[in-house]
Amino acid sequence: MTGDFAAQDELQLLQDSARRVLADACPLKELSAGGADAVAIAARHWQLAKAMGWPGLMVPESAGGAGMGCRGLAILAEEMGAQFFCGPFLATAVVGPAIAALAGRRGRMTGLARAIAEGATVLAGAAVPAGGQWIAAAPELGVENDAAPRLSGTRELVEHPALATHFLALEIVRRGADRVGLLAAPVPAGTGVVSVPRQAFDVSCPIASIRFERAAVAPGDVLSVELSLDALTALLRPVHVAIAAELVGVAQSALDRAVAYAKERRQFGQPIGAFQAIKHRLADAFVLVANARLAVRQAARGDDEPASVEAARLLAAEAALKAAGDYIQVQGGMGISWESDAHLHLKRARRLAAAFGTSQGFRQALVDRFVASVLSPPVPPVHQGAGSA
Amino acid sequence: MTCVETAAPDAAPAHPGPGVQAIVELPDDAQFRAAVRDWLDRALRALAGADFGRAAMHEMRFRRRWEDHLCQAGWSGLGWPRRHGGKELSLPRQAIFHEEYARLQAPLPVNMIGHGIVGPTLLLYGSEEQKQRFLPPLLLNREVWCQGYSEPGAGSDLASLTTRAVRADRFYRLSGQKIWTSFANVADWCFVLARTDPAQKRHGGISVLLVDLRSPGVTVRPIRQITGEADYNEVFFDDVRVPAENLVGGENNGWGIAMAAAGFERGTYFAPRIVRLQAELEEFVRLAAATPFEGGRAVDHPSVREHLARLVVDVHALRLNVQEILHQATSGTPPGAEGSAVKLLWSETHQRLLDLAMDILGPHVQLGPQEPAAPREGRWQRDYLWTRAETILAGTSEIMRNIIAERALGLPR
Repeated sequence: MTGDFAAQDELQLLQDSARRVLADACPLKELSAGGADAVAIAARHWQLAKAMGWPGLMVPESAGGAGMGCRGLAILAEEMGAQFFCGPFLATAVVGPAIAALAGRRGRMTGLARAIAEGATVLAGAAVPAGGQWIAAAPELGVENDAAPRLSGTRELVEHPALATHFLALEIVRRGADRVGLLAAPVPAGTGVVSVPRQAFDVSCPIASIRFERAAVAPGDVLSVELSLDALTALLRPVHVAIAAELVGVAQSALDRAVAYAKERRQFGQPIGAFQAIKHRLADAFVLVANARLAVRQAARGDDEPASVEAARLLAAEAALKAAGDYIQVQGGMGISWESDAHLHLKRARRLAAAFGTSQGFRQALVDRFVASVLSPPVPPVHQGAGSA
Repeated sequence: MTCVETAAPDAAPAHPGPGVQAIVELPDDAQFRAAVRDWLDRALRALAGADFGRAAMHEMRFRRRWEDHLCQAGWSGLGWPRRHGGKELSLPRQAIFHEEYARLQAPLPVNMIGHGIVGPTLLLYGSEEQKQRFLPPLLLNREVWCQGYSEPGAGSDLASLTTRAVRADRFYRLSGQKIWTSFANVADWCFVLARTDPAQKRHGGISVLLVDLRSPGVTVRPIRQITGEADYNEVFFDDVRVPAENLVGGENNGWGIAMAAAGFERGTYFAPRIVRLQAELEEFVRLAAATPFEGGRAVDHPSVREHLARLVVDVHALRLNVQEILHQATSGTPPGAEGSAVKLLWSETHQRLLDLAMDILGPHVQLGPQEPAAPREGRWQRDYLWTRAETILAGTSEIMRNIIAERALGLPR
């Protein structure tokens, strides 16, 4: 029990400090004023993240990190969503350490985790193939010469390219019904890496298309493995937790701002928040946000529930899109102006909802598993009800 | 076998295995859960005989027999103090009992107002005489209670109720009409909210009276519901004499008592409902797998799967909410708007589940809710109709959304 209390204290401390420093750094005013330089904001935020030790949050203590685990990650990512943190946190601090751990067990990428924790390596995730399917049908990346590897191919929608010391080339290719091939390599920015900036839908997150032209990779830094789909899901659990938690933060921010506006804005002689049409819309958003947060915390704990990761992603995306949409609607004409920060919520929600899988995919996985469990139960059900913790 | 168990009067089959008291005293939650499950399963099978799992098990006659059997065996007063005959179970253990009860799909209780509202209210606000008089028969389920709250002119706006109680010597003279009173047709007593001081506005001037439904001047008229059943009633009080000692918690204190009473079951109210919902969702999947639909099986149809995914996610969220509420109630956190959120989500999710079931039944929806030849003896049809009530009773979805908006979000009234 004392251990649990100590862990609780540590999580509380993380939340308090994150909330404080992120609120001071929140770029919403700057972004909605127009003309803000998203790259500069991200650079500023990344300095802050380094000062707070966040790049090493998921890196084991043995490699110089905080070894925090998913519960801490969910707390930090939610605060980041609520305060519109900009910067390559997901690729560097979540995807990077997960891939490094997988690679490390095969004697590859041995220095990556430590370099991330020290702040020396900053990763931009290069995981989306030209077709846009995050799990592709056929490979597009090629590696030649394993002793002095060179990587070629293209990746789309690479976030925060300007801050990266390395591009984390990542390719997942379907192999049969329930297996995938995974290729990963941190490619140093510079010679052989051509970056073409693209207009970003989410203006708080600069993006580029990347072309690797026989780009040199350090020997021992290329990982090529075959995994079961279940193993891939387990590998990516922190990634999904981080995305879902950030969506919950975006949702909460949109809801809070919509509520504040509804209390303030008067029409027909009273605050518009007194009208049931507004109340009921926002009450529904409240329920969704609360459910999404519970689902994310559950997914972060990672116990018993096989459905938890998909449910968390689904509920978080729905909550963020609904709350952001409500925030626009409640503001009326103001809601569709650039000057309102409502669009920033909607755009970030859309970007995150499509990262590392779609709601349609999560829904399908969830329902396939549920139907199978009812029609051909593999083992007698384990009841995890109240009080049997 | 304990002496409470042998007190069972209706010649229920003898029950092998550990008695209720022995189960209650098991040190470990998992052992307790397993023993409760085993006890309930054996008892229900023994009492229901050939009707086990059939529609007849959910009819009033059997429901009452089963509830009497449970209470007289000792499964009552689970959270009450021992000196009043209770079992003093912790909230998590009470939740375990209700979950296992729901998992078995045992018949719904009839005297829930008595056990869930009247008992706890008397323990908190009742006089010593009231406790002595009412608690022992309640524990044995010898007196069934109903709750006289809603009136024709006071539904969602309960505080506008107009039933009058006028003090006259050692009596109150009670006049007025209640409506949607569940189980008044089988109840012995009614827990009535009445106006004792018409000069006070709304929430003031309301009192709680315990009214014997056999008193002269009481008329109970059942209301037939859309399911064809008649569990709801109109109750007319025509100058009924209620002894002054049946006033609970002092004159004009009724509103506060009613609000407190509504919170008594906070920790354990939803746990069994979510377990039942989960069981019905699984039942639905089996139905959909056995139902031919648009050239294939209903369970494989993309539109059915889309709706099903939504239901799986919502039931998952409800389960997490129930754990959270139980956790809060156990640690003494004051209630927030979570109860309203869960009521809202539960009732609307349950409704959507039955909508989907009716969608895939195709032309079989024409079979009536009491038709034995219908799938599950008409339970899909019956529950489809009943789930229309769940978004209305105990606070409509509209009222729930108002409560969430005003209390959780602080929007103006």
